[in-house]
Amino acid sequence: MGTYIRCLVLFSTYRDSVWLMHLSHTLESLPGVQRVAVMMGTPHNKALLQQAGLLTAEGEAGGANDLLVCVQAETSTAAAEALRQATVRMTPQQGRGAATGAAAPRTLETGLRRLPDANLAGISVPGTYAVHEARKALQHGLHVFLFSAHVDLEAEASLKNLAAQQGLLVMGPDCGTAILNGVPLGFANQLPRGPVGLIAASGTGLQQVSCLLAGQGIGVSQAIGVGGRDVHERIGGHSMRAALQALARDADTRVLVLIAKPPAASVAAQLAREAAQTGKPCVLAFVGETVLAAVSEGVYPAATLEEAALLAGALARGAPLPMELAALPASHAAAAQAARTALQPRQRLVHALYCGGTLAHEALGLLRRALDSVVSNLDGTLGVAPATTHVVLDLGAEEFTQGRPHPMIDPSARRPYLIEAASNPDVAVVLADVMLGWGAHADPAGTLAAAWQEAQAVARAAGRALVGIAHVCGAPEDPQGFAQQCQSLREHGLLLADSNAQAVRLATAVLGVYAQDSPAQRLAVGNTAPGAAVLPQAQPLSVPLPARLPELFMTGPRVVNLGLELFATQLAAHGVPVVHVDWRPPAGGDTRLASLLERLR
Amino acid sequence: MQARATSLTIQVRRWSQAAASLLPPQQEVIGRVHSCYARILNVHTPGGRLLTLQGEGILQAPLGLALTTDVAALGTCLPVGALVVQDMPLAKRYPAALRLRCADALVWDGQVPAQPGLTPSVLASRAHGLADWLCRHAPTRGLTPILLALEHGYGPMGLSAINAAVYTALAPLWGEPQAFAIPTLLTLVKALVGLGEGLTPAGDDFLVGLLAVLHVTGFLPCRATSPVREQFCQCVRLGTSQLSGEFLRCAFEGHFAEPLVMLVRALCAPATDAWPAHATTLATVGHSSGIDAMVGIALGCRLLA
Repeated sequence: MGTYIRCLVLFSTYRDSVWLMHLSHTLESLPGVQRVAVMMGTPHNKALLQQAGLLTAEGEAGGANDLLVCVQAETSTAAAEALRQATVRMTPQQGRGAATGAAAPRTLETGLRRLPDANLAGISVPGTYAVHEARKALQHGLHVFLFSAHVDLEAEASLKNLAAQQGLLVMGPDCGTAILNGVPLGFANQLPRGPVGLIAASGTGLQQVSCLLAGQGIGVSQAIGVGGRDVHERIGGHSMRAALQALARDADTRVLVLIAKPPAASVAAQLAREAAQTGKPCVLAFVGETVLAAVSEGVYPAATLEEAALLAGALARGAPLPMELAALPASHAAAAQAARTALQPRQRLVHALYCGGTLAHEALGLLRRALDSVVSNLDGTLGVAPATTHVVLDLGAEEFTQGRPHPMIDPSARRPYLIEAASNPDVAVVLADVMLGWGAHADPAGTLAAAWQEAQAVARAAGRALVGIAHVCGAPEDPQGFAQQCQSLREHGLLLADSNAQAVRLATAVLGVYAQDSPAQRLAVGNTAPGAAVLPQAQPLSVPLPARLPELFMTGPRVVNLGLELFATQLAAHGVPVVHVDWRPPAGGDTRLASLLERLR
Repeated sequence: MQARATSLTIQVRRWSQAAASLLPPQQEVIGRVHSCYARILNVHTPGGRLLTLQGEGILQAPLGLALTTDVAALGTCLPVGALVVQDMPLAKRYPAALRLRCADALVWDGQVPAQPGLTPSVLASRAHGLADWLCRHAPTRGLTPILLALEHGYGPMGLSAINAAVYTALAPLWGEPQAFAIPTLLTLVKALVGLGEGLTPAGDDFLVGLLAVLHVTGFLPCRATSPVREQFCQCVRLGTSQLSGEFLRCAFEGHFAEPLVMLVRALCAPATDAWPAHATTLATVGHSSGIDAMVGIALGCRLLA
């Protein structure tokens, strides 16, 4: 295999650092590319590039105000292609409307003129503007899928009240996932249609349960994300309760599943009460330490997302409910035993490195039931004694994603933590999730496998073995190819678990500790066979049914998309009527002028 | 004709004192567009300085002007070289692409004046606190790994090439405790300027953080003689980009971007519980620029302690 070095000098070119890093990562992921450096051509940088063997005569010509793109590749073709890509990406984008010959709509209103029968607005504009656009959408009679974050609680409450008045639903803010009438919105998996209706204040929680159901051959009727803060006390589960009303009346939905990271206690109790009143069996998967004081008949609390999927699957099939604690399959137990024998006595720690926030929450809870001293950034305990404790990291949390993409989009963010774990002589097991689906990275398993190889090399150099355990959260029909992703990880020596909870059990088993599900919650499930369950009649609930939601379920979404074009492309690929708005801040970003213009209408 | 058709007039909501001092009310021409990326537009003044135009929010540059309009929306109308003037009657004769109304803009003081009471023990305590925060919240970002390498004497093994180069420049200062002096500063500038990835290289960001400490401790204001300034500016001019050099030049004069000023002021305030919030804000600047500046502050406090 050869090594070809090529350099490109972009004279007097300035881009912000985040963009430059993104360019560097993009070029590195191209086939045949081994190393990439994107730097200003200062004397010190050129000296570094020279030492690294990445500087050519062409690169030498660059100065301190010029951008150098240096590539090392296996073939000259791969190197040339990387530089071509760099040139294309550095070329200023022209207006998309001009490129297609038709001016793209610039506002929600003009977008609506293109698609007058739209019934949903997908909004992923900066949080400052998102509330304004969402309010306009509701006033135009559109449901809202609000991907944008950084919306304050009062604004969220106000939007949801307005939606209730209009008979509409607000999914979000900070809503990453939904599947409406089989159409994935945001980060969602490619799932079969079926009898289970999911409502989630947790994106990866929804993905985990729906994918595990797909693994059982069971599909979903609708999957509705409502944003993580919907279960905050101030919001009171507004959208979740409204969606519950709608799914209670949806003929295609026979089983309900509510999913959330730890909700406010009062909200959890209210949701459990209203779930019981729907007249349909309902599984509650409140990940964390939520304790429900009393559970009505027909409501099935689940200790884990895995258990939620098992319960919902059994309820959907009319099969007996799973009564035994989920055990580790014999093959996994044997693999854990074999892995343990290769470890040194002082290797006693688990480092769990997650892309999915809810999966990290779940792992933290399960690990704490089995092991002492587990710290995490999720509850601020990280840093107390990180070198000698078990660690759970949510790499999608704000402190890890400042200035860089979410690890579901760029899973290479996990690499340094993996290497760090491999360097720690006390670490025995590294636990990782791999998130598939629309919007996620094209090859997350490949990225993890490459980093795992490096980590293993570090551990081997220190005379140690390291156990890698992964769970692929995906459905068979996902665009990344579920089977191929799993195969790639197996080939690189990672142990694969069928669910996140099983991955945690496998990790603790490697340490010779066997995790237990919460017995209190298991007792609450009882032994009611679903066929024999006598469920209460549906009763009126305190949150009104969003009158226009059944139409959305019936006909599917027709979308005006503001913000990330990726979402419009994804919808178009599913044959959904969609208009993408080439959105710009109103009044050129002048909020005062925007407000005045609004009053003139 | 064409220029008139695309001319925009925009209000400046807020600007730094340093930027305001470069633009007296009677000066018609502000400069020409130097570069535009993300939500930033840089304007090159006739005097060779770079002003940074941005949308509303905290000022991200020492010579920052916050406009009432989002700059991302302006980029396509304002090519590199486009003329920018103040919005005043006399300037109407210029075919300017952008006219800025600066008269009513609020002035923000972006300096970090010397604080009394920064004893060696206080500085050591702040250095420790900030280094600990960085190791907990950004352990692998930017220059943070060199904090542990220096503290524990791990050496440059295992560091990236850039971090190893920064480590090599700083390690001699750790070996033998010595009083920080101007030659030490100039040696560091020569070793670090223009070093690293990003639009403002990591070495430059580190130096900006270090210079903030030198100002707040009163070290630099009384030693910044003309020859020292000349040597510093020459290193910067030869060693890094015009844009990053502007940040360094301002830092030498005691002017900084708002997130950094807020952190340094909070770090040096008697109440010590407010600074982590400002550290969180600074950490969001650039890919790792804010982190690298904080490493400069932490190590600067340590060196001066």
